[in-house]
Amino acid sequence: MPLQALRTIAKPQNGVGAFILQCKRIDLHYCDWAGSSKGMNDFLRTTLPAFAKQNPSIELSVSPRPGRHPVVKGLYINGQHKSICVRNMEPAEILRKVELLTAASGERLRRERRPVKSTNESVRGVWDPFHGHNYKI
Amino acid sequence: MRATRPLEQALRLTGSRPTAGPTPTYICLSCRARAAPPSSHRQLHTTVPRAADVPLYQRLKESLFGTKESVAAAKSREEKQAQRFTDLAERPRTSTDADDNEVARPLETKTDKHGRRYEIADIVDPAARSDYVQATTWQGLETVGSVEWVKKRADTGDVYAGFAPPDRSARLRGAQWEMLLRHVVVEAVVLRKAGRSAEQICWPREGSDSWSLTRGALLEYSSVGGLVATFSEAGAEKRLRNAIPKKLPEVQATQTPEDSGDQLREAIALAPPERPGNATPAWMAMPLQDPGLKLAIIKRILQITGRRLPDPVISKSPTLAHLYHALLAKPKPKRLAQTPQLKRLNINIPNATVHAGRQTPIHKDKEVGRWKVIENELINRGLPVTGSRYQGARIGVY
Repeated sequence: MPLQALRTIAKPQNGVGAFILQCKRIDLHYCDWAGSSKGMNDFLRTTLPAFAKQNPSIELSVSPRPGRHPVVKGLYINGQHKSICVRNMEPAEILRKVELLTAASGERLRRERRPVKSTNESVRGVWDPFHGHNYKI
Repeated sequence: MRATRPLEQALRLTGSRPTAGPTPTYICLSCRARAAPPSSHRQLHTTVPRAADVPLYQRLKESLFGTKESVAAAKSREEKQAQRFTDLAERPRTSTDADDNEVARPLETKTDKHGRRYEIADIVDPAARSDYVQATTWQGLETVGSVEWVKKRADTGDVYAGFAPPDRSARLRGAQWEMLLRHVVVEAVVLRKAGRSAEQICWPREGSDSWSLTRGALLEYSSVGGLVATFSEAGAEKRLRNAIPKKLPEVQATQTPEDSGDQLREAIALAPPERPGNATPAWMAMPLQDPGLKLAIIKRILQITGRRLPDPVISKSPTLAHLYHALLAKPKPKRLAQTPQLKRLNINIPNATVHAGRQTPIHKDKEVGRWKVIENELINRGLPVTGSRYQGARIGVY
């Protein structure tokens, strides 16, 4: 029998060959007047420049939203977005939230029921009744 | 009517009946309640007591044609109205004033219970006056009670005239502030030496060459002698002293904005180069313990530049150097987008953008180039580009 190639194609997996950051844009909204935006204003003045330099692939947009709580909103490649209200937070806390948005993908948060997720088949094979223990009745 | 029957029955029972047999001693509660006076009745009677006396046909007649009293009152009102018309027609339409000139008869005035006087409008009988044409629209008629009418009658209060010129100090550098302060201090020192009040430097004066005179003065400060101004040109001090008015004019002419702008331009044009570092000249060590002198200097700076210093800053400035640094300090930006940190973020970092105003969906459409298509289509269909067509809608504002 001539050799036949496997009828499969390579499944793309982000990070195997190249890694594409899923977060493409982060919008930061603040307020000049509200007290809940104090931490956000300090974050924009002190911490954001360093973060922007470390993540040149993310577009950062800073704009005021007068009379509202400060919000950080991430936009992803799959078109979804995630918002986090950072009212009354310190700059360090806001940085953690921004890093959370950066590391996330646009997928919905869901509970994983199975402990292992893999595209590989079972190493020990799928069970069949013809191999293994012989039960004698 | 319905209530009378049980009432009659109750009364019959309780009343004396000489021909009947022995009177019953027991009376039930409901008969007693009905026999009791109406004020003690707890039940609501559906028939009005008065209506029981007046027959139905009479009540209907009164509701349709009115009672005798109301008919008589209406007739009397009509007669009085007619009498007023005839009285007005008989009264002369004009009267004569003190110079025997004919003037229109003034309207009758009355005073109400609150003491307010009001005029009674003239009654025009259309039947009597052939030239009277009843108005079909309200154009040209006197309106009472509108918003404009109330505003016209309302007391506008005192009209406030500001005293400070517009603040033009934002574009002054350190050397220019120093020159301005020097000019004001030289004038104050010259006046103090002549025994005059420092406040006089703020009095209105007509065109003078005091700027060129103060430029030629040398200021020296010592802890013993205080601040002294010496002039290289002979007679310059006297000319400067005479340029400052000794008396406040009766009709106080306020300095026009053009005057203060001219003075500021003169100061800016002749300022020396910037002094390196934060060092201040020696004469700025002069203490400002005299409140009159301090306030005169601050007021004169306000008149020339329009710059006002906050009261805490003034009270915490013991020397001229403190005042100089306070004038030099730029006001804090009111918005975060105006701060130097965010301005640097916008300029230096290519992946960061700082917007000064709120970003609307229209801004987002403009970024991707969709807005011009939407706008053209709305205009072609005759629809409002922003908002809706309610009264007072801001059309064309993004």
